[in-house]
Amino acid sequence: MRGNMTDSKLIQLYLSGDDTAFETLYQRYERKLFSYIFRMLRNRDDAEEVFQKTWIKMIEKIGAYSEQGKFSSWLFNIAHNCTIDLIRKNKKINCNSSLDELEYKLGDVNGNPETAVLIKEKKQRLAMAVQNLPDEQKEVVLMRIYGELAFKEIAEVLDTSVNTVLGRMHYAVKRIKKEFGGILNEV
Amino acid sequence: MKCRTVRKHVLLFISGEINKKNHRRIMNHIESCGECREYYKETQIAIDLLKDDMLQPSSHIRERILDTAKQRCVTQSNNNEGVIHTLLNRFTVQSVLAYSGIAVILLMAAVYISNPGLLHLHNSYEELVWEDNFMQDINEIDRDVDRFGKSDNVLAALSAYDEKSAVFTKKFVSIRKRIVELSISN
Repeated sequence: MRGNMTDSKLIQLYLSGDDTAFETLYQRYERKLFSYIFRMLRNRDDAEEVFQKTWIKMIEKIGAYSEQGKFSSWLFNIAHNCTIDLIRKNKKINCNSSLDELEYKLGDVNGNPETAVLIKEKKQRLAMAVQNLPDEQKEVVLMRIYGELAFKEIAEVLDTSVNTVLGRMHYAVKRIKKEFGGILNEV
Repeated sequence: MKCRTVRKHVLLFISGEINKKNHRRIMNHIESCGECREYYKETQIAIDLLKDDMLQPSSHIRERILDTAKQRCVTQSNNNEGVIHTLLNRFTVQSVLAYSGIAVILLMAAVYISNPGLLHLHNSYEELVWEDNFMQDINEIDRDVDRFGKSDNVLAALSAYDEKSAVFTKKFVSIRKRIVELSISN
């Protein structure tokens, strides 16, 4: 029942004193938001810190949320700003970051062990390819893939045009496909 | 549709952010063009592969966030109740009357300031009151003339009439002047 409610309706309910409405909203965005932040920072502790900070900020600002904009764009805008703040503060996007971080979920593959190893390897390479994208392209890819934001919403978050966002995504996908060559066809 | 256009729109096509007409055109092109079909498949696979790895934060992070949301919700509800309680305590019968009186005065002042023409209406009302008095005076003189006509002191009655009629004439001139002014301003 709650799952069908719009984000705006859930916010209204929360503001009127129904804290379970917030839980529904949280569940709706938990994985999308965390996946985006994690891929941007490549460090679980940092990602959890930013993830928590994003939600706390969102709770503090929720009274000022305008229904004119989409909630997802608004939430990702907060997350994006918090992520960029941490990157600037720590300057710790470590290109040699251990694959262990990226393997956080990748190791969970069912089925034949040999196939599992192959798939895991491919996913590792793909994840690394995303990490190696220029920041502008990476944030678009992550918002689209993990945040499941529409290109129009990504443009709102990044305060740019839809064509610019599409251009960045296009180059990112092109680069990934180039790096992988025929591997995509084997999946 | 050209191959270049199809490839330019393939991301929107995959994400479903394209209108039905263009969706159908791209679909038709992909079915008939092997290279674009390959391009579309590769892009779709790359995106699906990436999409597969959705992550979750630790459970304690989740609990902390939900706790904060709950506390904030309770605080907000208490604040709302507190505001209503304070307002109810503050507004006793006397204070409500006093505030109402002040509000009416302020409202009238605002109305008069925003619409100066109302002052003319207000003056017109005074003139109507004066007109009532005037008619009473006329009737009184009429009665006096009748009374003095039956006595010897007709001159005294005439004198009283002249005095009052001079005041009336002056007032008539003033009223006429203001009527002309009002008609010009309107």
